[in-house]
Amino acid sequence: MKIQFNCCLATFLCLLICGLTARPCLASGKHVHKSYQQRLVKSRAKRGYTNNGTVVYNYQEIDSYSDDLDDDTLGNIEVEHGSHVREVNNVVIIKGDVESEKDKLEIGKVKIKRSGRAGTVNNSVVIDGKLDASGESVSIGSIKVDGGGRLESLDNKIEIHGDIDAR
Amino acid sequence: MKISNKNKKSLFTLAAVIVMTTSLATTGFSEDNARQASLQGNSGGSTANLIDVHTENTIGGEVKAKDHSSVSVGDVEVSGVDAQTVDIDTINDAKKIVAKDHSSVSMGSVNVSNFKGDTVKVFSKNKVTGGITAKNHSHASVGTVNVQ
Repeated sequence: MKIQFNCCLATFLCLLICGLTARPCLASGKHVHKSYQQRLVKSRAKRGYTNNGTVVYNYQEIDSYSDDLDDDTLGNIEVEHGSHVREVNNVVIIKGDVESEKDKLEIGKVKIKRSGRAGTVNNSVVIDGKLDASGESVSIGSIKVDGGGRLESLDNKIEIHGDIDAR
Repeated sequence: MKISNKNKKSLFTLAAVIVMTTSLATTGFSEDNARQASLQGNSGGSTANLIDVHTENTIGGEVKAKDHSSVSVGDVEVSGVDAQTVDIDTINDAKKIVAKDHSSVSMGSVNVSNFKGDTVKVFSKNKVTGGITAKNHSHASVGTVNVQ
């Protein structure tokens, strides 16, 4: 009888622990597979790695996008003229849908203004749901390099899994 | 005639030197080779000799744009390039693109301006399984490459 009780208690505790550990996973929505490069950017952005201000690591991961976020800079990077930045790594992951009424919706935009030093640009945007916009223009993952004298490598990877509806 | 071990080694070394000299002579290591190596290596100079542009855009669903709207996915624009060679790879995949009523859709375009080099390499692979439709003063483009 005592053994039976102990078994029941152990099973209950196991279920409780499993439930508690599973909760954060369920709360953050579905899982999006990340590439090695995306995981590297996440890890370095988390640590604030800048290599004395020469490298930019930016990582944004959200469940879904709406105008309520009031974030005009979702993965938008601008490198100013005269900057010492040599490498830009940008990753935006939206695990759900994007809905916007903004006139100009820009996500994952990298703009380098006559910096003259930038050598590498890696940009990656993943939208796992659909994109619904009622503004005038939608721009996802665009790169503009002005004065790319030392530019060696530019890599842009955009994945949108659902429909895009702009009207 | 017996050849000692020491002599064998010397003969082997001599043969190796002859083979290496012959191969170098037949290759003809000229200035052109040096320039080619420099183009591929990006070493030594302050500016890059080769620019590698790689874009990959995938849209799993349909793209619909209407009523004066504009959609741009993964467009790249580079200006003021000093490199001798630009190597562009652009891969685009979408299910269907529909643009109507003064709207525009652009996907995976690469635009390089003020290019002063001498070599442009382009690899472009575009797939829109459901087709592209642009009507009533609309515009749709996929994988456009422009170097000038």
